Amino acid sequence: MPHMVRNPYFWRAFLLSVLAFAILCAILLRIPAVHRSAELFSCRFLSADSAREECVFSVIGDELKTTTTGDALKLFVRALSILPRSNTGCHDYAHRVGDIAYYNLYVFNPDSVAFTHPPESAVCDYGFYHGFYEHYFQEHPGVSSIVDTCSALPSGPEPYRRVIRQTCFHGAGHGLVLGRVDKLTRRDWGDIHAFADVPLATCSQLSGLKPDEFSRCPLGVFAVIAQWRLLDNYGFSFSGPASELFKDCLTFKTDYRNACIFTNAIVAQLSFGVDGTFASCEVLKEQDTFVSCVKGIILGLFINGADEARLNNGLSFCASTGVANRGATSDCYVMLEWALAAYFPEAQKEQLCDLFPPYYNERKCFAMGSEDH
Amino acid sequence: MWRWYLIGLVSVIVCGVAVAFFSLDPSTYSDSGATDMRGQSEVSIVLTDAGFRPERVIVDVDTTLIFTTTRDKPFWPGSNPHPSHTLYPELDPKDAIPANASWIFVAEQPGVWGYHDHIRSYFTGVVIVK
Repeated sequence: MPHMVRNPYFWRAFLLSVLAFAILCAILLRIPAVHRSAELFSCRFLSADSAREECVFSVIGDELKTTTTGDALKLFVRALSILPRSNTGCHDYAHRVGDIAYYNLYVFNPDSVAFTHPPESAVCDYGFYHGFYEHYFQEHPGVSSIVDTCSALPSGPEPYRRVIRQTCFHGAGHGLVLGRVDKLTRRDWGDIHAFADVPLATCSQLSGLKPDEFSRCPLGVFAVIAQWRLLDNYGFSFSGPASELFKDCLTFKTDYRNACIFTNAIVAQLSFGVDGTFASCEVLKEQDTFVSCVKGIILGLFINGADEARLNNGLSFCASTGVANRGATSDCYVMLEWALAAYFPEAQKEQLCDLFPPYYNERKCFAMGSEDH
Repeated sequence: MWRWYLIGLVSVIVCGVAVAFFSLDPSTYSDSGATDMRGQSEVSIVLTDAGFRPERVIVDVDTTLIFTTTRDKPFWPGSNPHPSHTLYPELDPKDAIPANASWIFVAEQPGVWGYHDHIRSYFTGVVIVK
């Protein structure tokens, strides 16, 4: 080694290599995609969760401003390995990308009608669409706005196209309720009808929709209120005895009542667990309300992710005596089957189908995913 | 001869990685474009039609932040993430602030704190507390 260092050729070679590499780096880092990737990579060296999240979304925000939604979402998919709460917060993160996209398009560029949504926008259970469309419909709550916007979504292969349209109408439900906050006062806090009646009336006027699309709007309305109950927002909460968990839902007519119970059961188990929520289901006297509750419990199992453990929990629940005593076993398995089709990779479905009871397996459960729940 | 070029190449790669690492210091992203308001005991942050202004602000620990709005609608500053506000729970008035009112918050925790309007979560901002 000492003899090499004393050799003049070594130092010429070294200096030439340094110069060449420096020029190469300077050129590469001027390429926006490379620079953005390098920026994203460097975010992982921030130890604080908050700082790391802000770093990542700053990079994604810049990408959204300068490139396409598709490019930004591809960056977001890569960022999931850097973001600290990807296991439980994937949907919320994707929601935030939708928020940023809405802001870029409608605050920076209010005349924009750029509704181009690439396949990457389906990531994290279509969280991007939730974030984007709930704000769009919060600010544009009219019936024609909802129908025209969601109907104009780009075509594509099924089930992607079908789910996008459903998600758009679901986002409309979200936005309609959020829009009520501006119009109500503190006296209305906790009054579910003050928040829900006007949005539900708008939902009921949506025309030209398929049944699985039409049902999505009221589900979106109640989903927001259920989340407010979880967060103790606007006077809503999950406090009170189990027998009154669905008290407000029972004040609505049948379809809305069941949508309300379904969405509340999904969220309630984050506070009460499956057993606690099911205890509230058992108080419901009408069979259709009980079934809606059971289905909500099943869907709620997968709200923070889908894995075999959660599926096994669902199978145990469906096989339970409590569900059987009310004659809801079949409905429970149908819902679980839907969740299997919706949340698990294709390659895993057939294997997981084998976990269903033998008589149920004859239905080839993974093929049922196209049905509405 | 080739060994010299090989040693040179390895040295350059190591130097290049070090240069890239230090030139892309992630902590600069937070400060980038931020309004430095250190030295002020009170800082006003206003929610406008274009969002929170200043959008990114650097303040000292224990600075009082006064949130108001020029929009004729209620607002609700809340720490990220939306909607749970769990990263900095104290950065949350726990209720909507009427349009003609203000919310006062003392930034006691150092760090980079993203926040948003809970009612319109596309309005976002960052408070960097040093």
